[in-house]
Amino acid sequence: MEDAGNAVYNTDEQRWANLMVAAQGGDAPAYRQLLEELGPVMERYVASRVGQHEFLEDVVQDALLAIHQARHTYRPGHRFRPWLFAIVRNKTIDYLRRNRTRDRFLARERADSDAQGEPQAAATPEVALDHGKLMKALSQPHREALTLTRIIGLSNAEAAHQLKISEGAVKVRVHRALGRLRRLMEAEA
Amino acid sequence: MTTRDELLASLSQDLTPVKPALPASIMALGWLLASVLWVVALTHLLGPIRPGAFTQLEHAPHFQVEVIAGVFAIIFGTWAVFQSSVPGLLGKRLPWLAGGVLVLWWCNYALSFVSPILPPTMLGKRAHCAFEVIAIALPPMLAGFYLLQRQYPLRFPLSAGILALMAGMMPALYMQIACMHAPAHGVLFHLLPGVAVSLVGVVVALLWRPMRRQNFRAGTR
Repeated sequence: MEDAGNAVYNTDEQRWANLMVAAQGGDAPAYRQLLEELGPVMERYVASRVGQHEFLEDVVQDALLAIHQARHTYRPGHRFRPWLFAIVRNKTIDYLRRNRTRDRFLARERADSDAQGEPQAAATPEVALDHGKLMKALSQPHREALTLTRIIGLSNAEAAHQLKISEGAVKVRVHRALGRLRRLMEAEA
Repeated sequence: MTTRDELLASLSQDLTPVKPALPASIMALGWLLASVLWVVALTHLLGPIRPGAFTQLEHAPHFQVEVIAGVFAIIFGTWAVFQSSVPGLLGKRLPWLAGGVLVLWWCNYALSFVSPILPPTMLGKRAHCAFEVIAIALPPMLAGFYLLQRQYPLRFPLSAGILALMAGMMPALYMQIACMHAPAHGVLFHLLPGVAVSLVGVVVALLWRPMRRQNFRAGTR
């Protein structure tokens, strides 16, 4: 069973490396096939670590764009996965740092509320969200701060009010949580 | 945001061939050699070298240790920075090794206050050595940034800051040979200006970064 898993792993690795080498040579169909295969792989990777969230598609698209921009740095004969996942990790942390989730999240909340004829809801409670394994590995204060500000999309002031701490403390917790998340992801590599 | 299919179509449409980038170690070596030549040549052009400095280097083991530690710190640091410019290439050991040797080298400066490496002397004093260190370091720093951003450094300001530090450390180290030798002078007028170059580097990198993003968006790479 384990051997079969390893065989698939190695086959994928080899195929992706070959497709990338072909893409570097200008082979568009090979490149398209590579990106199509990598999309779901990256999606699963990110979801398993930070949870199944609205922004996954954005992270995957950012990562696809980064792969395109960095494709000249893949060296034929080298392992493909470390190169790929270094980019995905970086794009995930970058995305969380930039905090672009707020508008989409609130828009969805509004749409859901309007559909149900209820008054506009405040942010979903942190506990109701799906968390990936690395988010779960964060301490509760760090996870709460990160989730409220970067995933639910509250402002620092709103998160501070909800957590009953100062705005500065929220910023510190978010900063530390992102640093810890990056270290956890890098430690996996 | 476009749909993923649209993105895939636009990325694979009219795909132009790309030449795989040079290996990071080759780029590091090239930058290092060119920078060393630049630093040595410019230092000699800007003023005389301390008389007897190379003889001291031959005969004073503590001075040799300082210079050798500096050389290795710069080599390992440069190697690590260029490796960091390729996703997934930099391992965990090299940054620790580079950092460790750098700290050892700097500890040598601290140690020289207690046990002087060479007898303190005003011989060979250069009037503007601190400014020389900064001015000499800037061109290699900018050339290094250009090389780095041709790869794909995932944390450009960090990589750039460390590369700038290495660019600053080269003239700082050579100034220990070229200029007067005294512990406080070495730290204040050679080492600290070299460290200051890394701060300049981070600022330049932060300004450089938005330009880099715009270029990517415009597809000019």
